[in-house]
Amino acid sequence: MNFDVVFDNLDLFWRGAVSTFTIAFVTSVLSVAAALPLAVMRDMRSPFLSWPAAAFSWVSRATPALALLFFAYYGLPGIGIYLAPVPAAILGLSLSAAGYNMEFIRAGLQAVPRTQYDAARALGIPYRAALRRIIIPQAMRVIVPPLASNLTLVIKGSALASLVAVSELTGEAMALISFTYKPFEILITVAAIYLAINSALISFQHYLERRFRFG
Amino acid sequence: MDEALSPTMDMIISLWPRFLDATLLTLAIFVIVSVMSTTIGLLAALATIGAGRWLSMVLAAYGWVFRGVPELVILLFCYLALPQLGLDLGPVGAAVLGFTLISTAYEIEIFKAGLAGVHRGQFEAARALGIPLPSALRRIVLPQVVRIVATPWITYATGSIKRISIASAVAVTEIMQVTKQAIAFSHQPFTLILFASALYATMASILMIAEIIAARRFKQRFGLSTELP
Repeated sequence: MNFDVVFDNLDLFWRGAVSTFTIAFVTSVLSVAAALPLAVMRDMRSPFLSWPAAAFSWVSRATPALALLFFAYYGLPGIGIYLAPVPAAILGLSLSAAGYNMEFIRAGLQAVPRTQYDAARALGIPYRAALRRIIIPQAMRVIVPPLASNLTLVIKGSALASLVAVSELTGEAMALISFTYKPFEILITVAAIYLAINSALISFQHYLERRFRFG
Repeated sequence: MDEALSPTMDMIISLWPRFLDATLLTLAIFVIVSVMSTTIGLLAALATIGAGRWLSMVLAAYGWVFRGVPELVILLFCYLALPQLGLDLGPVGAAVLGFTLISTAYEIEIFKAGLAGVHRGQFEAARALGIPLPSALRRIVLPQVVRIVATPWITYATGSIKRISIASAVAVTEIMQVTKQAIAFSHQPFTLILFASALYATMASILMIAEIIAARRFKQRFGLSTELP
């Protein structure tokens, strides 16, 4: 065992880790931004709104993240949409995460008592303002913990981007393995970096949970 | 419409035997991994009942690693790094080992939560009645654990079957790998990926429906057992 291959290529691991974090961060923001309106649509009375949202949730949760990534990178050019590797990876990962995020947000919205909706309506507050100012702040307590742990899953999932030609942490590692042939040292290092990123995120999650405990 | 569809249908029909083999391989890996990780996870969770703190610490470290590192990195390790240490399992063997290591980490958590959900008084009552621990576990504790863990176990299994797609990265000819090979010569990526996704989605959907049924069926009984003092 010789970890020189790691110390000689520290810049490469650093670049990969930054790229992993960036992809995961953008994916998290996009998937939550997409999931929130879908979660609201899912429980609307109109079937034209609730059915598409339900169908999206099911497809997103029943399909492997890797299949959605391949779809975004290899499949979309088939209908004339060409995305570069990084945007394609972010699109695939976001589609995959959005289905779960939708269900977390729905659970949060449903945990707010019905009477809160009724009271807002009785006071003549428009539905959108009621959601934004009254319902969502209360739902945050239920929503934040699973969304934050989903961020760790997105970090893990972002490794799949290496399979659609993205040079994030795992991609850089695979390239380095292919010309140094030191898989043991390189993969152990990569695993340690992922664990370090996760630990940082879990501390951030505890901070968020404290922050939203009193809503 | 027939004319537009038929080349695509012909391609799917000609590839069907390969996709069928790939689906069966996916299912076989899923079953082997599930059986092994459930057995080991249950035994490890049971062992924490009587054992000291060191075992809990070892299991916590194990869970931290195998639930924190991406599945792809663990599979690559089993496929590329283990042969260097003299353990060459081949693509399928490496994938089965990797997924079993990962799933075991989650099954331990599922069964630990299940055991924690059984009231301590049940263990004490069994002991007071002179029932030996092994038969108390088998006849009294485990039937209750099964009800508690049924839903989370199926939820995890749904994710588990989807994750087998990652084995395509270590040359296992499961569904995504066959899809990649077919794309290379047929140039119909859109249809092929849609078809592969449908195969995975069908398997996942069966488990998702089972999850809903289990959640309904065990809700009442679980609710009853928590009402006991």
